[in-house]
Amino acid sequence: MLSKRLTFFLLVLCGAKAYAQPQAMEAHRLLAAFTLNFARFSEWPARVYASNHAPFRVCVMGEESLAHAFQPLTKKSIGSHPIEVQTSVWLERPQNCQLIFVQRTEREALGRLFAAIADLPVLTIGEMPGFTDTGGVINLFTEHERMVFEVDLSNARRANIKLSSRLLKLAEHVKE
Amino acid sequence: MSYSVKPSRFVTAKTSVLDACDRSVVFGVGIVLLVVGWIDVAWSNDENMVDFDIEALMDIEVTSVSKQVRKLSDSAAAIFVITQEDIRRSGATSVPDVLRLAPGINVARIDGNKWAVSARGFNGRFANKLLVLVDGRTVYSPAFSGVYWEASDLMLEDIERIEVIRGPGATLWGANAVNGVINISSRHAADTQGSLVTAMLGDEIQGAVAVRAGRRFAENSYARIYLKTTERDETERESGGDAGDEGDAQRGGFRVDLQPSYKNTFTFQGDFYRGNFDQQLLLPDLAPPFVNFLNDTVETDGWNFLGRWRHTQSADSEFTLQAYYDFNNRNEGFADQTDKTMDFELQHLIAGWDKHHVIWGLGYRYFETDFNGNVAAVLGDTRRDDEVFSFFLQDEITLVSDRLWLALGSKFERNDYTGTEIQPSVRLMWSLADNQKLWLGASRAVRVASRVEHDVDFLQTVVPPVPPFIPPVVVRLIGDDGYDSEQLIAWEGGYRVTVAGSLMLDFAAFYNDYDDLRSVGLEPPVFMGTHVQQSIRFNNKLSGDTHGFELSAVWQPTETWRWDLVYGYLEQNFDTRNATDKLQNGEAPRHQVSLRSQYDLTNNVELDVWLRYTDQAHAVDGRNESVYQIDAYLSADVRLAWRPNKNLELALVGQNLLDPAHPEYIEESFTLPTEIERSVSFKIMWRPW
Repeated sequence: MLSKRLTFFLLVLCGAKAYAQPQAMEAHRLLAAFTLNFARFSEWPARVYASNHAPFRVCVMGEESLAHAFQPLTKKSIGSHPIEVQTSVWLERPQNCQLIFVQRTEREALGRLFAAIADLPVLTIGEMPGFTDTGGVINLFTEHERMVFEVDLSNARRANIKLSSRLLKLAEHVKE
Repeated sequence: MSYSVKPSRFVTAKTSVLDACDRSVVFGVGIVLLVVGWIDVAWSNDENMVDFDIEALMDIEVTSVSKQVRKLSDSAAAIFVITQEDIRRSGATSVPDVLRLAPGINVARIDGNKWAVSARGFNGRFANKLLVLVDGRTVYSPAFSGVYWEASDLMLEDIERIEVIRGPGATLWGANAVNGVINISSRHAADTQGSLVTAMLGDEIQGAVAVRAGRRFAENSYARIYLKTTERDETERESGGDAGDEGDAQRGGFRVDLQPSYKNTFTFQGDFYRGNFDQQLLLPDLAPPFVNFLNDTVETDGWNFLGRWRHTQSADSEFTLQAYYDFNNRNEGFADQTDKTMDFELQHLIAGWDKHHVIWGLGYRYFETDFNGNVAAVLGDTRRDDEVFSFFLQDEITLVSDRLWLALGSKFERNDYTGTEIQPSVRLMWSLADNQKLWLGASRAVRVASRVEHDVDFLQTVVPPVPPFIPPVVVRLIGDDGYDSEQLIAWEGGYRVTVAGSLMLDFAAFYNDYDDLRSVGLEPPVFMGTHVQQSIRFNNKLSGDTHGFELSAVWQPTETWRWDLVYGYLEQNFDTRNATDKLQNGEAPRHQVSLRSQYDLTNNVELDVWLRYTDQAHAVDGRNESVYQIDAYLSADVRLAWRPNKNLELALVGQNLLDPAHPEYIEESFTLPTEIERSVSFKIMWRPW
């Protein structure tokens, strides 16, 4: 009897894990999923790619577990450009990234990061209060246990990146 | 867009395996695969997870970040990071108790309000080889070389992280970072917006309330203030009686973070505190009965203010300028002491040159100590002013891109006690693969003489007379103005690896070679008419070495379950040919183990279990000029927490559950041994807005 119940319980557990549409998701994965969407709904100037199949570089500044959550992105592509995920941003030079995700833990590096990418076409995404005020384009935050985002259009324009109207419509807050 | 046909290839492979193998083997393999698969699902890089469109994502509830395998540190040093999450789940109620999480750190509670904390041996109430910084401000007292932990009863919820570095950190942090550095960073004010109220009630913590409020007051300008009060119960004597060491402490402070542009950030912060800590002292006396029992209260207060400006010139050049003032006052039965510190520091980071990453800095510190008392007096003027000038330079050179780095550097310091001190280090970091790192280091560090060792006159004990022939003997411990720095040459190495994202191992080994360690010498006895005076003078005639290793492992079999294992092994030897180490060094525990399980029973219920084993140790007992044995002990903490909603957390914490009480340490002088009791507390964390 007990073993039957246990089996049933395990089945439900495994089943739930494998098939169910998630009602809830761990924050780091959500950040990765949002980031993929942001990349898909943004437009970079064509000159950022060396060729039609040049990689789209997503650079992650943060903890190992966040980098881990971004790994599934490597199976995706932006248009014809396969996504590459890099974690050692400073070694690779941030100028070579098309998108940089900055975790809250890397706040101290923001000054040097924004100085390095200045007006270059890099989409900067963060998850900390004040990220857009300091120069970031998109900032993610949690409200009522749902993840939402704010956009700073002037920072996007300076980076020469076009954000789709769909994205702007969904943003919690758009700063012109 | 084309998709690969991987799934069908997998099916083919499986069939062929089935054909070839015995059924039971397949069954066994199947079970293993199922388990691995389940773990893998828990850790999956499931492609579909990222493939929801944005509207769907905005509808998904965010769950807290799963406990995470730590980032492999890039530093070529034995470093361990304690995060806010670790602190919360540890159930610890004080900073020293939090430090029990780290490998190679010996934390021993002395009584109701005192702790002994050290890295890699040499522990004591006045453990002098561990430098402790709170947001860049040193809390190591230059007067007696050590840390009054009870005066740093920080609001634990506002700590962002604690970096625990074993081994010398003198090249960057300067003198006294001999056996280790503890670097406590509080959270950025932007991360503590809104409010937080915590309240704790239990039989050890008899009541603790902390309130914090934070807000954004302009674009990129954030501030918070906090207040905290804690009341701790007394511990007990071996005999079972009360130890008379209860205490209460209040504390408050603020932090403001401003960032007018990404090029400039400003931080201003300050704290004030006061505390009354009871203690029972046995103070020597010249008159019969030659020792006085005193029910004493330590009265302590202080405040500090710090400002920091970080200026980014370019991606390759960044300046940090920091200044602070720190005032501490402490009055107790045997002495009164006031310390004032003013400190200025400039740091410049240069990353521009191709393979070089340079940091250099200048520092100036002024400190004034006023020390006076009856049992502990000073020779000469009670007040003393000192200055320290310092310069450091470190270059991190990339030898092989992405693979091999070399860091060379040194600190040059000039202080009024021992003159110029040079503290160089060389470290090599080799990234064997993305998930494996190997490092080696050699460095020199010094522990500069303290006020006590230079010019304090301690009445240590009075040996009662044996009538009719032997008069009382008055034993005095006196400073020597020729007292020199203690020196260390340290050899270290370590290896870190992560396996499949769910297992991380960090191993560090060391050999520490000490010279000019503190010892004491007997002066000729002097007959003073009514008694004989026997002076014992500080000198630097002891040498010794320690070696050992530390291992920390994190294993996260599923997203909801994490294991942390920490083990430290330490061996210490002293060369007593020229001096006795009696009175100076006890014997650190040889083995220390900590095993922690953090398990999420459901989305909002956490069950955490923490086992600690501390090997037998010997502490210096100055009153009897002997060592005091502290037996090995095993203790267990359990925490059960429930979050009914995201703004409320209720936790039940049991500490030291395995025995009614056990001793962890005794102080070097004046106090009696106490035992730390089993305790239970209830804690509420609430965010009203």
